[in-house]
Amino acid sequence: MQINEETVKKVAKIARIPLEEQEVRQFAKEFESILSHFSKIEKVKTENNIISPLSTKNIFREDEIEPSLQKAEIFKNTKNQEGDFFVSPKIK
Amino acid sequence: MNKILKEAKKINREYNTFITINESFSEGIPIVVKDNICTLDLKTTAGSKILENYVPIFDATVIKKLKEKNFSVLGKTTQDAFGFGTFSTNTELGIPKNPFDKNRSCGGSSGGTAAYIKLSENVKYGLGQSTGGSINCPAAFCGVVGLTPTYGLVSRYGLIDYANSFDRIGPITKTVKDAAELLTIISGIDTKDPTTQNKNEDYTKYLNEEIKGIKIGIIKECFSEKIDENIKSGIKETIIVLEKKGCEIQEISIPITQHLVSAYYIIALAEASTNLAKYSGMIYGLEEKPEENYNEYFEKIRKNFSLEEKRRILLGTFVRMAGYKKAYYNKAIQIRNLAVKQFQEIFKKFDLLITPTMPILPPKFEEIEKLSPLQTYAMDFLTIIPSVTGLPSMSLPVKTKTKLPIGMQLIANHFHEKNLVKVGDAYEK
Amino acid sequence: MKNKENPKKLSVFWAQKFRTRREISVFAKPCKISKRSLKGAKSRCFGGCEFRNLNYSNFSKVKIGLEVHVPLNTKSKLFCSCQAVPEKPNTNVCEICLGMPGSKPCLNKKALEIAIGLAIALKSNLSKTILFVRKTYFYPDLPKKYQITQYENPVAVNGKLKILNKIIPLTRIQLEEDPGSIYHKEDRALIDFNRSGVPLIEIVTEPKFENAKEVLDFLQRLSSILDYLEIYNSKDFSIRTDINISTIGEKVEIKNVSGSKNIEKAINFETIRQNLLSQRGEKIEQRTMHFDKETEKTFPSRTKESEEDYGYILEPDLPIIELSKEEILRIKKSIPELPLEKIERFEKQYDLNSDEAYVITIEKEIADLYESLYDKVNSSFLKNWISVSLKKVLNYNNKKFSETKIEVSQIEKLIKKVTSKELTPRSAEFVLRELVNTPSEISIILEKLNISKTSNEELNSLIEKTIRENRKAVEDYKNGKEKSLHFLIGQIVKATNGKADAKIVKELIIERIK
Repeated sequence: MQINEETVKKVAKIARIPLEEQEVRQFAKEFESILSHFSKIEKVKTENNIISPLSTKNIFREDEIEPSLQKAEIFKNTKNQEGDFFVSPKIK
Repeated sequence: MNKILKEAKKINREYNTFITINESFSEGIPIVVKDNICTLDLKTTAGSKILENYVPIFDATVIKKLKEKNFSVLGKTTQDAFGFGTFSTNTELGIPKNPFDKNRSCGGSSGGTAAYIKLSENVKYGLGQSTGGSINCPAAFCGVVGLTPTYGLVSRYGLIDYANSFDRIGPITKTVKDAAELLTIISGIDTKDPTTQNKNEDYTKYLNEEIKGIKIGIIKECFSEKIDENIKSGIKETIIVLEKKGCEIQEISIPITQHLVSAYYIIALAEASTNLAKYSGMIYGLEEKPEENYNEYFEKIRKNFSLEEKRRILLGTFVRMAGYKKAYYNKAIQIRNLAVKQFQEIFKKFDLLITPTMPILPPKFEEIEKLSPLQTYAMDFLTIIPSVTGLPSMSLPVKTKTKLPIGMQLIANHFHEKNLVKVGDAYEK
Repeated sequence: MKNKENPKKLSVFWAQKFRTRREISVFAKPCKISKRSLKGAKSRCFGGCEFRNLNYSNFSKVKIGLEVHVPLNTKSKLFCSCQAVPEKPNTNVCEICLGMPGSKPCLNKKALEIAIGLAIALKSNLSKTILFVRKTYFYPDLPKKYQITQYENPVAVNGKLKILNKIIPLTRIQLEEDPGSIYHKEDRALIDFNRSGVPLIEIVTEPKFENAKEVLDFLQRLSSILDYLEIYNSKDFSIRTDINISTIGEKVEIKNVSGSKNIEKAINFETIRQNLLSQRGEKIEQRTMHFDKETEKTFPSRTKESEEDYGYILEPDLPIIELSKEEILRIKKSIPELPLEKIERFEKQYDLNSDEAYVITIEKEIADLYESLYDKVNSSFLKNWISVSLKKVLNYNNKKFSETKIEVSQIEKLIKKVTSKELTPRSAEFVLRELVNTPSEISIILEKLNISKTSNEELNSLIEKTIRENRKAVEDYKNGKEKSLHFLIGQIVKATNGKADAKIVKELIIERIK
């Protein structure tokens, strides 16, 4: 399994996490050893099924309305508020 | 000042057990709660700088249930950020110190809770949380009881997610009796968490029970040369005690256990990487005044994740990327499913399985720094067995000749916590 | 775009759009053909003259596929109990649809049943096990930074919908949550999460459309089915469509277009753009685009679709869904006769041709109204009046028949008055307009508007007289003088001592003058 610095940079971009050059190098090295250990699972014979046998089934909620939050609660954890809106970075 | 608060502040000063102490605590049964469980109006950080100032606007279901039974949250305890760790050292909000030796780790990620329960004279009840073993590990390292319930027994509503397929909330207490009491209160189906099942009961009725005839399997792969000799001998002696009490002991080999660390980490990190995407500086959490365009802003905020948080998010993103997903994520799930099926078969013949909780005694902080990420992850290989298969387990402190505590891990079948309580309680006596 | 559709007319139309010199064109290229020197880097001519030289007969065949997003009219949102209607910003929100840490989703049963009903109506195969996934991407309107949607094992696959000339295969039908709404400002954006978590059904078609006309026909018929199943409220949220177009190059996706006019324009513009590029010898790249309603053009969005990796994983917080045969049968039984079946039946039972039947059955209420009146009034008059007059008045007032509170018996009465010559069809339409706005007894309305058989005849002869006596005014009006029309109206109203209704008079005069 070849994890090079390019791959690390690509993954970091997808995850929106900027990395220093030193971090890129460190992660490339670490991931190489971690992922090659992980890839040993390839050898195990398994059934081609991704549904968990432990999963609950058919649990639903009735289509009923419950009261929503108060404005004070909604904006409690942010200062980026403008009137009734959340302020977001621009999207051009 | 309330003597309970006084004690809390004293212990916290010496051992860093709390991120937040509830200054308004006055009456009710005190309980200490890991800081990734949401408490209304009381700061909840999950041990991460990204949520350093986050105050939830709702109580987790388990907290609601506890409040109904006159419990009151005394404080929120220290932990690895988001549960990412085995030693409660991956945090900038306070690293808890081991009650037996301040230079050693409490285990993780629920280190603060376990340490406090060991040290406190007034507080009997603690809530921990586990994804890969974060209740059992600190319980073992701090010499207390940790009970990790079956996945789906206790509601996760209000638990800040690490890996939704594996996360559980469970009791950390001094005795099995207290654990049984606490579990009885917090367990039960929750309409807000559709992964819960209606399988809870009164676990205190399994105290003081006969354990004659209980079939116990000793997992061969968990007593290899990787395990510290003191731990192996401590547990072997405990097994003899159980045998004297009438349990039927037999060795069993479960080869798939060697692949469970990989399967666990692939699934857990894949889910964690999606869970942590929400921390991008909007609505809550670390934020700034948005001046640049949205991608730049998100990156500016997420740059503040710690090294371990970054490591896990990146690994988790990788294993579910197009082109890699089939070999890693899909394959890991298939292995998890296979393991579940195998254990379901095994529990037709056994009531309990036994392993050590951890392969080592509580390590010194300087020893931990020398470990590579892969070596750290591999430390979880014993607690991961019940974690990845959804099985309930308990870490029980066993008699030891060493100065440091040793934990024995009991694993039961899904929703058979009663066997953990029975045997754990019987051993304590 | 076939040459048959009058390319000359089209090219003038499009050329007019692009001949503006100062226009900032995203396809910035110096004008090679005219070799005009263009002032300033921003001035580009988007081939106004290229359009004259564009070889329409050589247009490549177009392949269009759609991803249609239908918001459902459930009371609550898909995964939480917040009300699912538009409101003052950030009013219908909770910790779940705001994606606060620790919150968990729980599926709205009604939304699932609606999705299954629609899947059955679209003749598709329901998945035995239905699963949800997380689609992770970073955009400000997505609170969790992942959307809970479907990937493997959606609600249904392999459906079909018959349009005029072909059958459109539907790849998949799935359930997912809507993100919030964004209001763009110069240096920031404002987000309203009321819409976050509203249930959406996404219908993905195979790329079998060849032009905008087919796409619009499809959307019309789909809307019809949604109307019959009563699952969509067009007043609150609109259907949004992603359009995938390819000619000879890569597939281009135009995201989030709503409204049939915009969809038509977007398709036509993009078709020309791609053909223009290929006739220039340029490559068509895979891009994500948006449609600007103002300039009526498509333009590329910032991030390339190929750079995003959604990293789908199963949604671990939701249970799997496996509905029993009984449950599915129950849902199937609740589905009414669908448009296609109704058209066939109406053709036979009511002796209508396919166009007539189509127009009457687009909306279920209108079809029901037709059926309840069929035996009671003159059927030939009924079919025309319902397809033309009734629909016109309802559309103009943006109301559905059930919203007007008009009783079927009143419509019956009104129609009988026309067929018995008591009222002219035109007068009946005036009455209908009044009924739609303020429902009351027909006789009261007739009095109010002063329309009756006698007064009608009087009015008409008065109009004739006035036109004869004011030929100059009539000529002036024909030459564009609005004032002359007002003069004529005034004369007539005066002559009836103010009893005649000016609006009615105006329309009658205009019609008479034509």
